[in-house]
Amino acid sequence: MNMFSKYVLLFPLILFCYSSWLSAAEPIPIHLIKPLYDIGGPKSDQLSMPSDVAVNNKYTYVVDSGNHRVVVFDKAGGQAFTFGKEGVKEGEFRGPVGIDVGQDGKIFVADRGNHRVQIFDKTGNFLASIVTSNKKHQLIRPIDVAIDDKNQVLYITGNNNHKLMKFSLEGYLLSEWGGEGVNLGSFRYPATLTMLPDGHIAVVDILNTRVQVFTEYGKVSSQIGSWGVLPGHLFRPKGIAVDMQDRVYVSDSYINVVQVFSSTGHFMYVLGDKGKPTRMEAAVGIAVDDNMRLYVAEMAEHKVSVHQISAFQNEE
Amino acid sequence: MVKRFDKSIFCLLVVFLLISQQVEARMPSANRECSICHIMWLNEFKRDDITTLVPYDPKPVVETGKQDVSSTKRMCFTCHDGFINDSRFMWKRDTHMHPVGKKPSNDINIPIIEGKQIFPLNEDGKVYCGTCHSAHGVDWAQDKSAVFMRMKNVNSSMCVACHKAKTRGPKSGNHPINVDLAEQPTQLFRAGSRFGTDGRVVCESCHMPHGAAAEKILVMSNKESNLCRSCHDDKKSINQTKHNMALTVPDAVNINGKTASETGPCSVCHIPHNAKGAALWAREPFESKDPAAAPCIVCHNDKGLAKKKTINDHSHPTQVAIEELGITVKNQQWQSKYVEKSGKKQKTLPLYNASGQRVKHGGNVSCGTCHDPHVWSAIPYIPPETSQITKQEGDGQNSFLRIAQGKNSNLCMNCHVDKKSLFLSKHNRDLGKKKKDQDSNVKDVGDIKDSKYANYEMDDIDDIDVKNGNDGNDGNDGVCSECHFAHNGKGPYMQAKAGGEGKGAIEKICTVCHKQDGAAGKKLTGQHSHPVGMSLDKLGVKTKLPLFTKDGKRHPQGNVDCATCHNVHQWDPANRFSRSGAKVKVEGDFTNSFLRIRNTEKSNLCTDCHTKKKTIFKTEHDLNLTAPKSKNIDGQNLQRSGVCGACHSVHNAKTTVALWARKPFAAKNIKDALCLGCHNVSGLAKEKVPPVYTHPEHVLAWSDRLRQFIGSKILPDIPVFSDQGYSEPMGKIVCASCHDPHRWSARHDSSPGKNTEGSVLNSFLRNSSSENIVCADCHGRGALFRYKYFHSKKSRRMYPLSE
Repeated sequence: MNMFSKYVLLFPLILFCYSSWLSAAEPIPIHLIKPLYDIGGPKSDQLSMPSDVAVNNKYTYVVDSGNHRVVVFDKAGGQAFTFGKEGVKEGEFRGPVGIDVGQDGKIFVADRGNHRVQIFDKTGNFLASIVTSNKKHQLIRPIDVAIDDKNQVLYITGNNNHKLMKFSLEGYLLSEWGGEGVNLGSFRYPATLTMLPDGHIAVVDILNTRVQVFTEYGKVSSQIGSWGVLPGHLFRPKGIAVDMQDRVYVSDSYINVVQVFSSTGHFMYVLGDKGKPTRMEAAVGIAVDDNMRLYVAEMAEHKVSVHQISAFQNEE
Repeated sequence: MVKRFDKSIFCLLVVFLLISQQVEARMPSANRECSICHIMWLNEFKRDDITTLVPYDPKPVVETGKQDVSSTKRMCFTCHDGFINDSRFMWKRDTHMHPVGKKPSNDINIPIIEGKQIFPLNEDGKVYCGTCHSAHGVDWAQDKSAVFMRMKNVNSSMCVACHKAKTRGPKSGNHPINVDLAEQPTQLFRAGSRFGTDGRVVCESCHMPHGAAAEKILVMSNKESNLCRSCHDDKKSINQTKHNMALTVPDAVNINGKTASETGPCSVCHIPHNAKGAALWAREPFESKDPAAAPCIVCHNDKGLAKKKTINDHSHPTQVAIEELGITVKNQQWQSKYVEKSGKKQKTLPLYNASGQRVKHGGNVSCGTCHDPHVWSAIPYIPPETSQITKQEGDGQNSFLRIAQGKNSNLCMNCHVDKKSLFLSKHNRDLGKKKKDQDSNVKDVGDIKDSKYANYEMDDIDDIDVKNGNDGNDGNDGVCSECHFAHNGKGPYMQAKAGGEGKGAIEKICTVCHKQDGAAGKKLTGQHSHPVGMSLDKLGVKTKLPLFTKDGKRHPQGNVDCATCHNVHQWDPANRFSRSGAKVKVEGDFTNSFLRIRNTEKSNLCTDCHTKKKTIFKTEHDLNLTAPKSKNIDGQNLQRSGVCGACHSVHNAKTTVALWARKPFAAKNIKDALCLGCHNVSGLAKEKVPPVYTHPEHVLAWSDRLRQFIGSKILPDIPVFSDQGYSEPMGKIVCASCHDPHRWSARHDSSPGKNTEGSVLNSFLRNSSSENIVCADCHGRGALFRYKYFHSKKSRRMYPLSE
């Protein structure tokens, strides 16, 4: 057998192997979650278009945006109390979006339509209101709010200024970072945000399809996610949460999945079951509690789905 | 060589593999800005070595049909969920949104430009999100219309582009658009309504393509007609009226087969689109000469829902131009030519064009001019219990009238301004009524000085308190109703009472009161009165005064009737504001007495018809010239009677012949008696007394007409009379045979003035040289001699006739 014959024989073999390799697409790395229960739902009038969810060890706080109110549930999913209604007065909302709960139980709600963040005590009584305006006193529509319990400041994302803003609890604008753009540090529609254990702030940047992590001084420390439809990619990121192990969870409202990233921004998993991503209809605001329960506001389904996140490999 | 070949083979292999890896491009661009929506254009979908988080499916079949993934509801929602743009309220109420997933109906006409529909349909030919929305549509810089629309949507122009049939206004049965609203209702703004330039009503004022609150993509539910009432708030009181169909005819359905309880009180009669006829009518159309009245008559006819409330032929006319009443209307501002002292203007009432649509300029009267079918009473009232509404009976204070009549017929007077003078006349029934004062003492209010009108000018009549108007229907229906019923009158001019007699249609109305035992029993026309019911055509007379047909309609070729001379609504023809006639016992004369023209001095009223009699002026027979202080039989001097009235009395004359108003002389022939009343030794014309005033009585002469008939020859005017004074073919020769007392000379119309001595050429003779033509027939050549003898003082004195 001369060399030519050898290549002629080898070529189909190589071709077969290559095509086999091609047909074996890399699977999506799935991390197991199990559904626990739903709060609300399309056939229930309990919630209408929930946009965000916050949790502490006692309650689950849901922004019931379609009803312009906040509904608070206990850990069994029973409704504890509600507050707010449509309006412009204190304690009333117009199209609220984001929510956060402080360690002291104070509730912070981004009242988008009224250009303010409202602060309530742990039972839902109105405490204060912070008008979200920039230095030129132009009103800004807030999308989400996060309380920095340590420094007693609020971080607020602005819809129409594409900025991350830092307010004192007294309502003074301390700093603002960003602006419309695609470069690091800029935003195209910043959405939800969360405080990381190291004091940094993780902000979902919707149309730049990323999560930007800022220091408390406004410098970008890292970036999570990138544009696309592959695992680890983001298409319409909306919600963000962080667990006790600094893992960052990001929901996507088109792809309808929640993906898990390391604190350094490396993609880890797509949450799912039986090898497939768990689909959540229009997944927006999310939260993870100390018991590794994932709360997902599924706006299109008018519900908050609660899932149990299984233990990660290094925790087993 | 082999090595080189091997290397070449390897390179080819690599190239082949690379090429095989290359899949034919499915999408135009994977550019990020494109794939923000066109996700399937991403290059990741071309790879087989990895699993994407979403499957490749560029044309998914979704609830609206098969279409591009970029315009699925799911994709739209990723930005319009409040995190970027806030359209949550639309999604929340997505059960009421512009229809998608359906093929357009035949009524929809999607405009085509360059061979392409501006609004494309999906793969199944159905409407989908991408039909109206596209990121490649309207320029982002233009700020009057939302981006992501396929065309500018200023003033709902996008809606209009397809729904053109819905924009043609009330004529085609559609709610008007692009009309100005003085103020946009707050509740509509709150509900999400949009208004056009300058606050005009546009499609989106009522409809919301997304997030509508109710069916038909209405901005708010119209179950109780709340949407209608947002703008038409003045109509809401219909609920407490008999026009609330839910109460009165709950089973009646509109043309869409809906009852009042199903559609709300408005929609049972009106629908905003595909309505029938004027006023966006929602009931079966009714054929009527007046399209504006058709919506009313559709129920108010013998077989209609309101068959107990119909109207007859003797009702207020419709389709009559308001200009006929001397009112001009410009931009809905009324101006009557009958200017009032106070300058007060009329209230604006709706007027209609020939198609039945309301107009701003000019227009015709119709049902809706007087009636607002939505408001029972124009003045505050306490509505009855719901159970009693169906039994509600109205009067002039309510009955859906736009202006409460009150005692002063305020509604009537708003248009018939010229009739307001009636209040200051004896025809105001209130002047003759006894009125209880606060102490319940009955007091006769016979004079305006004592009446409630004492301190009012005519302009102020509107302001007179009508709180006493609850003393029965008469009071509430107003003064006009004493003689007229707006509906179901008893005869011409909607007369309120029948029973009058006479030859003329108007006379029959007048004699309802002006008869024995009638309300005006003291004012009767006597046996010897001016005739009515005869045509002026036979007399060859033209007049500007109104003439009337036998059924009472004004017509240029009509007959003389009472209203030819009289305007029953105005005492003094020269002064509408005169209060001189506002007394029950006032006696009129030729200056007033409801005459259409003052009849003094030149007797303009009489001479308007009797034009040939004008030649009397400035002759000896013009008593104004010769005997101004003389009085007629009614005691009126020349100032009050006028020249004609000095000798003639239109009503209550002493004789039928010539309606004589002076004392006749005792003569056998009445015609002679009239002349001799003055031409006697103690009369006004005692200077002109003929010694022998009679032609021999036994002589019967032929009248000129008879002789003309026999001889077929044109002869001079020589009438002969019976003793009763009537002109006969063959009769006696009397004074009036030769003399025309109204004309000094047959040859000239000129007036000679006072104390003129006549000759055979004048002297009120009907003919000059008549002695040669008429007298000579019998008297031959002696005719002239006889004539001179009898008409010359000198000859009579010199040669007196012996017995």
